Amino acid sequence: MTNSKMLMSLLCFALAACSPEQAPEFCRNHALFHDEHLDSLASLNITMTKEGIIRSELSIPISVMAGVPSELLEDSHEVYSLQTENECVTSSGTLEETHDSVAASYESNCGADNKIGQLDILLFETLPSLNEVEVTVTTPVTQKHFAINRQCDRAIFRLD
Amino acid sequence: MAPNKRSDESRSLNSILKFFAAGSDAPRIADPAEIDRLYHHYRRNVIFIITLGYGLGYVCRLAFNVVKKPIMDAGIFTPEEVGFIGSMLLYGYAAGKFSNGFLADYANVKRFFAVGILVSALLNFGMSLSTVVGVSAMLWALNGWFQGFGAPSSVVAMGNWFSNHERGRYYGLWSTAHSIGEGLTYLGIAFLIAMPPKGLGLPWQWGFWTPAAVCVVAAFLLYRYLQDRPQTLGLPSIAEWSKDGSADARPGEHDASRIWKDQLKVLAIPSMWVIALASSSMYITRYAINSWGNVYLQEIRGFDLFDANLFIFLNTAAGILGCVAFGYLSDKVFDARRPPANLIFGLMELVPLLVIFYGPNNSTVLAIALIVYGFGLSGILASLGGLFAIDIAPKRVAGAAMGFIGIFSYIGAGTQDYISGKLIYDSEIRVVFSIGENSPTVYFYDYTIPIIFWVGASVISMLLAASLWRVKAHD
Repeated sequence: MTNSKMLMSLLCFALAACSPEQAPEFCRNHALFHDEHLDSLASLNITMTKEGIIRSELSIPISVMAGVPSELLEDSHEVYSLQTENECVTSSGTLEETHDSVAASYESNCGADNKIGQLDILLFETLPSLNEVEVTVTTPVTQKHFAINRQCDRAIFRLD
Repeated sequence: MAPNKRSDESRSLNSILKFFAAGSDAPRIADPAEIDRLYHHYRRNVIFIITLGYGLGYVCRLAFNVVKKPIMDAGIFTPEEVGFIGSMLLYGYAAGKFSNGFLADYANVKRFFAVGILVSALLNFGMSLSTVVGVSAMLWALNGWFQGFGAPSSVVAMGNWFSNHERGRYYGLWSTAHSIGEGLTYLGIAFLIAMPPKGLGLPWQWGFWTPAAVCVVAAFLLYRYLQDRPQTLGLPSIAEWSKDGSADARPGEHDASRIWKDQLKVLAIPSMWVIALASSSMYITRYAINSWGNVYLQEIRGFDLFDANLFIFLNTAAGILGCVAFGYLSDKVFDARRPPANLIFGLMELVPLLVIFYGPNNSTVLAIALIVYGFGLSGILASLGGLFAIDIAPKRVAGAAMGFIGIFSYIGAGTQDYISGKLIYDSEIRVVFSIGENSPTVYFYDYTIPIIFWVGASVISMLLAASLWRVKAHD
């Protein structure tokens, strides 16, 4: 280790020692572990359009289902709920099942002038064996990619 | 109230006023060579220390901007609350710059400046302890007021030690302090807060503790090295020493009623009101980029906290050159006329803004645009933010002119912060993951309307400044 790296590590350590509560080490350094559990990850892609349409695509390893019937995921209310100014029309989910994963997709039409305030993702309640989901959310102006882990109280943005 | 108690209080107030009051004239030094030597020595000290002191002190003003996103992400404050707290500093600063501008004309600026920065340090420390909107807003408003000790003190010090025909250059040099402070904040504080490997990943509280420590050092340096009026050191006034008839620095004898009359004259100059409005509009854009620019770059462009602040730093670093270039260009090329330089620098500010918000999502293009923007903005800042006003005001009341422009500028900046926060918050979409007691939440915002507000303010500022094309300096 070079002197400057050692000095930096010492500085981090000294500063962290007298800092307010830190996130658990696993959550802070998640990038170090992320590659190791890619096979057991669920993924969720959400796209919101200018027209107020919300499309969601979900993919879950079969091992995560752990006794939960896959048909349950046809009901979008088991996956997400919306808090909007006016009501949205949500069609029932389409389901595709292979030997190692379950894929589901959903669409809600909220209308262009509707105000979407909150999207509640209920996956962790529906699937007790789910530990982590990798999420991509695309809005008309931006895109965010992150992971949500059951052990961490915040989204993890640095994945590699 | 008992007479004894009243007289004790009166004595306390008098001793406070005496502590801050400008010193009386010392017996004049007879040796011209010694006068020259001392003048050169103190002028060098004064310009260096007001630039350094103001730059370091600035860190205590900006820290909140860097920790905005971590605070929002942690769910401590919403964007609207963050905007409200941010606006409180700017309103406090507006009030401080105005009242302190008037007070600074009577003050021993070394004490005045140092105390302001010291109290600001304490208030930053207080901010690290608060997660209550009302308390944070109050602390931040007070911080704004005490931050308002700095600019008038610096301007008065420049009025005392530098003549009219060199003020553009020295004002430009001093204006680099804004960029020094912004650079220290957007790089240094961001380094502490950003996640490893780019930063130390420290909690947001460090974003207040470190500035507090920096400001304690700044206060000490100011108290140690800044000087009161030349006459208090046995030197002639700057007008007499520089043989610059137009220098008209503050009178040797401290004629309070005359100063007050001249201060009121500032309000009767129509161009002063136009400069104030132009500055106010320019400050909307300036503080929009300073306060929300790094949040925008993280939210919309997808940069991490360190990179986003690095981009903002580029604009402030370029600003150092912009200030100096403006002073030189307007003094030397346009013979101390500010309007032509205002137009050139105004365009250099506006065009890159369009590239930043509507241009391609390319890091190099963004970096170049921010550099040119920072260069242009700092020139305009030096001019509309004070230099142009000092030019057309009676010179003995430079502090009041600065205070007058300051109150407008910071009302614009403060209103911007609140409006921007509200507009951003109105667009908020929360994606909430329910996990037992935890609910990790990711926030999404749309900056379309705030951007129109920020760019529009810049256009208005440029048009107002251009309307003063024929205005000349008051000698």
